[in-house]
Amino acid sequence: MTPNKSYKSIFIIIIIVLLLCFVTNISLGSVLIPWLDTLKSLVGGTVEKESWKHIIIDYRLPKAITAVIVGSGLGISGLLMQTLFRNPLAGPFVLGISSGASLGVAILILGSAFVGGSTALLLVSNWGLVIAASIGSILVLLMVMLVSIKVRDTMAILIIGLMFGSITAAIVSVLSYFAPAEQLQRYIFWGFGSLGNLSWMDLLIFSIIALLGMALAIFAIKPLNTLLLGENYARSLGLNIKKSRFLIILSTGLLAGSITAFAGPIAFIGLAVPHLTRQLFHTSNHKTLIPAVILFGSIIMLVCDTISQLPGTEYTLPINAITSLIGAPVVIWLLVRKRKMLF
Amino acid sequence: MEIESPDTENQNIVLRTEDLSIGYQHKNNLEVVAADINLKLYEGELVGLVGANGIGKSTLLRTLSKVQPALRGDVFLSDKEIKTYKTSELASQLSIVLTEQIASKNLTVQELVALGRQPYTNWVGKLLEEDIEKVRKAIEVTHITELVERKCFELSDGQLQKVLIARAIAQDTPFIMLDEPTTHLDVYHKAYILKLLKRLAFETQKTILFSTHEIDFAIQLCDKMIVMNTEGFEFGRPKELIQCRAFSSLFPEDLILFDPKTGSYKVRN
Repeated sequence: MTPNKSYKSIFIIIIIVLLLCFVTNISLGSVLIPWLDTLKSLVGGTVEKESWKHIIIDYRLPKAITAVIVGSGLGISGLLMQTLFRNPLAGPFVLGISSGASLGVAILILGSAFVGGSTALLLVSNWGLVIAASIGSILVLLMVMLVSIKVRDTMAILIIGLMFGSITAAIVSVLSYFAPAEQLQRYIFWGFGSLGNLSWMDLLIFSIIALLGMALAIFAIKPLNTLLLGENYARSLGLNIKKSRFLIILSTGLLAGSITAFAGPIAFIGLAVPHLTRQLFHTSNHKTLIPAVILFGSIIMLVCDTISQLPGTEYTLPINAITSLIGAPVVIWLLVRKRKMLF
Repeated sequence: MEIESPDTENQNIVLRTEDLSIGYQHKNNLEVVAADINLKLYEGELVGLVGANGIGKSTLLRTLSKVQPALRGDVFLSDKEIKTYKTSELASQLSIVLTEQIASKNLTVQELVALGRQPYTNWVGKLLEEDIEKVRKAIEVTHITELVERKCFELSDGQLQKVLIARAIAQDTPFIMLDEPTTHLDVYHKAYILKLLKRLAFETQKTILFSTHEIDFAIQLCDKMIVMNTEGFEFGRPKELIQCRAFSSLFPEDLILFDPKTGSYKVRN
């Protein structure tokens, strides 16, 4: 597809906005650190207070990078799902990926109550959560992929994904019903989502998986553009539908799975970011949309995180609530304004 | 005055079928929709496929485009058996225009036509000089130059049909197949699209096969026609088909009658 116009200037502007958001996000928090000192500590200069440097390098910088990966990754997986399922309301979670992760975490946290003792403590460490969420989402993803090999109809896969979601949600409620209050609270806290719990080591592993998912998405650019015509046209243009579908689902799985594992379920970003991006970039060409969604998703997530910090106060709101509070009205606004959502 | 097309022996056959049977293979029984189909479609020919609803026009088109396998016999496209084509190879031999809506109407006309070049572009779909030229020509030849900046959701049905035809032209295949390209169009645009196909077949020397219910227009415009009815199928020039009364047996005669003089159907009084 030829882009009719060059979006170079918009790209430059949103890259500058992204950098501004990034530094602002790092400078704001329970302790307000001046812009200049924030920049200085990022580039390794001397800062007025040594504690500021510690806060920035060990806490806020990994959190901001996490926000960038979460925002861009969820945005990409939303875009991929919307094109693959020809449905503007599809998001990364329609395949039941996040429900899978939730199930894994629910079994770990809520189930650990029945194991008891020190094993339970060991299990419910940070890494325990990551592993449980990953296993959960990978299992659901594998099931969806197995189904996608058998079932030709993409819509059927969408519905099957939703059904997996319902089944896992039901199992989670059964578990919650029997779980002790303490464990239940832990599970609920995980469900709030969190960008700030990652050490540099966690972040390294997280970024490798997420980058792999994004690389696959880039390889899917041409199939995605072809799929804009629908599967029958795509096949007539020589596209291997099964292979492309596998590539797209795998990319989404890696992105949404790893994000849910490391940052908890983050709502609405996957659905809203692609639509917001299309407001700025009037195109369906994934060659433009994928980099645009990466930048835009990062900005939105950094803004949401900055808000959730309630700068200057000691309180932090759950990030999942903020993304929903911003994301849901955005989707409603888009629907009311345009009456129909295009993708 | 009818201009006789040059002797067909010298022209290239683009699509050929040999004793083709089409239909569906159920577990234990064979549902034959039509049998012993022998077709020879030449370069630059416009061929109309007509028949009553449910007679198997779509089944024939699907079999000719390798969407479903033949029950018996063979389809040869550019002198090669269609079942030996890979999906990617077939894309450079056969392009299609379907009745179904395209998935995303957010595409611009330019983008949609350019998607026709997908079989030839690299892994990221980059258009080279040659691709851009082919797209430009396809847009020019279908007279949609003034639409290129528009989004597909802004187009009328007739305009969209022209754009989809342009996309197939841009795919640059010797054979183009259209499934009922005139449905949903008013009578003016029906004629417009069919005349466009006629001109494209002549100017681009592509073989164009389309199914339609516009039998009278097809008789006036097609080089050859395929008539499917309950007894079998007839294939030939419209004039020959009128002579052998192929159109008269197309429908039950209780309601409408074919008038060979005007080449159209009349309601029975």
